[in-house]
Amino acid sequence: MAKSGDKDLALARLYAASMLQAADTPQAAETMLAELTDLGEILDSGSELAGFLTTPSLDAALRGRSIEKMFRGRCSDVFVDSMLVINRKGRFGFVRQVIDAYRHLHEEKLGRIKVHVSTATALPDAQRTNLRSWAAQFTGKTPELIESVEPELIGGVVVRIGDRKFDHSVAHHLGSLCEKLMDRASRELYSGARPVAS
Amino acid sequence: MKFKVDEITSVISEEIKHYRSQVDVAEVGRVLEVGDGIARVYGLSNAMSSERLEFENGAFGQVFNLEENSVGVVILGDYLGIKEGDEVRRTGELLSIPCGEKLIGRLVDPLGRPLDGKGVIETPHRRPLEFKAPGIAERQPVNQPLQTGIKGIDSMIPIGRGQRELIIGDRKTGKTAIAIDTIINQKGGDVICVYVAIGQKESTVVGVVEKLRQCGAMDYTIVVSAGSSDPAPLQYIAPYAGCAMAEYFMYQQGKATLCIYDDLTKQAHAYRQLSLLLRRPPGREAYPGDVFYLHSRLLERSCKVRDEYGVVPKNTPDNSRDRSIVKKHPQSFKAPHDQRPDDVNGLYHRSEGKKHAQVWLDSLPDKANLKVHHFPDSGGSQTALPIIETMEGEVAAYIPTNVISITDGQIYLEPDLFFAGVRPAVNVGISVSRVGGNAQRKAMKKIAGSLRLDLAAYRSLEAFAQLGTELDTATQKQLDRGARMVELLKQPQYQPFDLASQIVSIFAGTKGHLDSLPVSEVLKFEQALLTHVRDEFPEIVGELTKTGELSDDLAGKLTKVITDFKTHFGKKG
Repeated sequence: MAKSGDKDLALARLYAASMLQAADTPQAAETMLAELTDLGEILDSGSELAGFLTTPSLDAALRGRSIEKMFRGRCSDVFVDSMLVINRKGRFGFVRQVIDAYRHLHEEKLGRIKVHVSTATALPDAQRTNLRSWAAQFTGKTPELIESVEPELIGGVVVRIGDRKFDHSVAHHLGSLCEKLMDRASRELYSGARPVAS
Repeated sequence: MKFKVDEITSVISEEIKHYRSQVDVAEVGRVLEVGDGIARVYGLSNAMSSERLEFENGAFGQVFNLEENSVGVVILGDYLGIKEGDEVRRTGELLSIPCGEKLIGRLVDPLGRPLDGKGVIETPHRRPLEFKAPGIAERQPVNQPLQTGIKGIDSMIPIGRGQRELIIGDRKTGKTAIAIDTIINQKGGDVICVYVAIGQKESTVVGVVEKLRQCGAMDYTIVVSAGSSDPAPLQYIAPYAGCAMAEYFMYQQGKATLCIYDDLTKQAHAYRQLSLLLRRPPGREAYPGDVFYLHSRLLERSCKVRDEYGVVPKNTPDNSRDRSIVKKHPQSFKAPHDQRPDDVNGLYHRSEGKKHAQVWLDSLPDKANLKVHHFPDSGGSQTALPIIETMEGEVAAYIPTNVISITDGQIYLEPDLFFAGVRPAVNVGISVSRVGGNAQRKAMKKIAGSLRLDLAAYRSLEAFAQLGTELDTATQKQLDRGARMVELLKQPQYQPFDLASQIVSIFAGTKGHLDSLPVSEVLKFEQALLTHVRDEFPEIVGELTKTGELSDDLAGKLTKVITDFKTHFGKKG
């Protein structure tokens, strides 16, 4: 999740939507996603190339020529053209947000949804299948499970789909039980009753 | 205290046995950035404006800005414990605060958490922080006085229950003193007071609480404090919290309440800070565009709620609040004018409501089994005394003009008067009460009618007299009277006057009984006169207190008492 303002996110979504529209076949859209993912990795690596692509001090025309030389023929034309437009408009600083937005829009278009699953131990196949079918039923989309193992959950499962979080972990239940007991104790203490003292 | 392990075990076992594990479903977002009491949260796409949110560290937040991909949240609590990436949960509830009798006598923060070290406040009652002000039909005009105990105010700028009277002035001109005196004056009465300290020094708040305690005023007072070291969000919600606490008594118990917001300038500063941090567009003096609404929606909540009457079975207890038992007039709104109900439920609540209900009852064949019932949760009021601090007497600044236009009058305190020893330093020329006159007691209205004009004339003549010109007798007389009245209206702090004392005192002044006294003797004479009347003529005090009227007979008696006392005082002096 990129840390940026709503205005930047809206702008990034605009570019991403245009790129998705330009990639007119599912195959082209898929290729574009792979290319953007690779670009994202280059930018995240903090290499000199990343600096070269994002520095605002560089002349846009010079960078444009370099992009042509570096990517034309190696990547799809739609990708190279999109990068050139982004460069010409001086929006290379937002390219990470554009990648995120493209990924999100692409998934949405394909009817896919990311489902984050956290468990205390690795998820058995049977449960994975069950979870996948439940998530598909719940969202009406094709779920893409992203699994993580968190031993501090003790047992059970935590599922996160978009803004929704379903917590059925042992840690959560113990926590709420503890809260309930503390609440009861403080209430009885202040009401004058002494349930646990002579 | 000795703990029994087996008892603890059994309690825990019992809880575990009855524990039903359920999947916890919540809508969550993630903190994108946090600082200065505000946070931006990614997600929470269904969050409502003003909804309460919960942060991972237990702090609460309130949704402030709804943006395309994030929500701007004001954090009510420890924002230093919140970090980027923390989970934020929706609660689906608006922010609410505890209220009820248990808060009386307590010093709490704007979330109702105790600050006085007297332990947790266990109350089953809660009220929403933001509550829509009652509509026109739910109100009644201001018609009952709220005595401040300050001669200058009760006589010339009377305040009624349900009124909003602004106290405005520069720093150190006695604004808080008027508010505190008003609270102290409610002792023995039926008014619940809420004092909201916003952005004040903790030491000042301690002083106020201590003074109220010494005067026995904490028995009916709640103090809400959001100090200057508290985060801006707490200072922003403090007046709404105080208002909600008072509303409990107004709406649930039909009681009269008094809310003091000390001061709204600092609340506006806090709101400006939050708005700028959340990148709301700044307007005049960098305040956001809705700063007027910030104060208007708060002060509109102060009002006098209508009294509700209904014809009910005779055996209905006096404390019954059940409106379903009300006998409805068969003709409803087509009933004769003098017995027509005021709403579809058969209730009577206009100014003549009680009379109309009685007329209808008297016309009923089974009237022996019925009675006119006043619903005890109706007729409450909330009087607001907002305080605004001006800079160099600049009442035309943005916030002062806003609040002046919202309130039903203002008490303007002037530094020049304050330093000249006229305390309370009320400038009667520009102070006004727009609705309080209807609520003023008849006796006070009678004797203080010309007081304001006399004092205004005195002020203009005073300037003229300073030029050293020779004055005619009439003008000199007017000046002498004015000087004595100004002296008479001086009043020490924390010594509110009851109604009878005020009437006796002002009567003596306006009827010219002080004209022959040296100005320096006026206050001494007043004290002695009041003691004399209280000790020797308790029937006069009793009648004034009871009826609030000054009949010709009583005025004659009072004149005689004062004349006799003056002779005696003169000899003694």
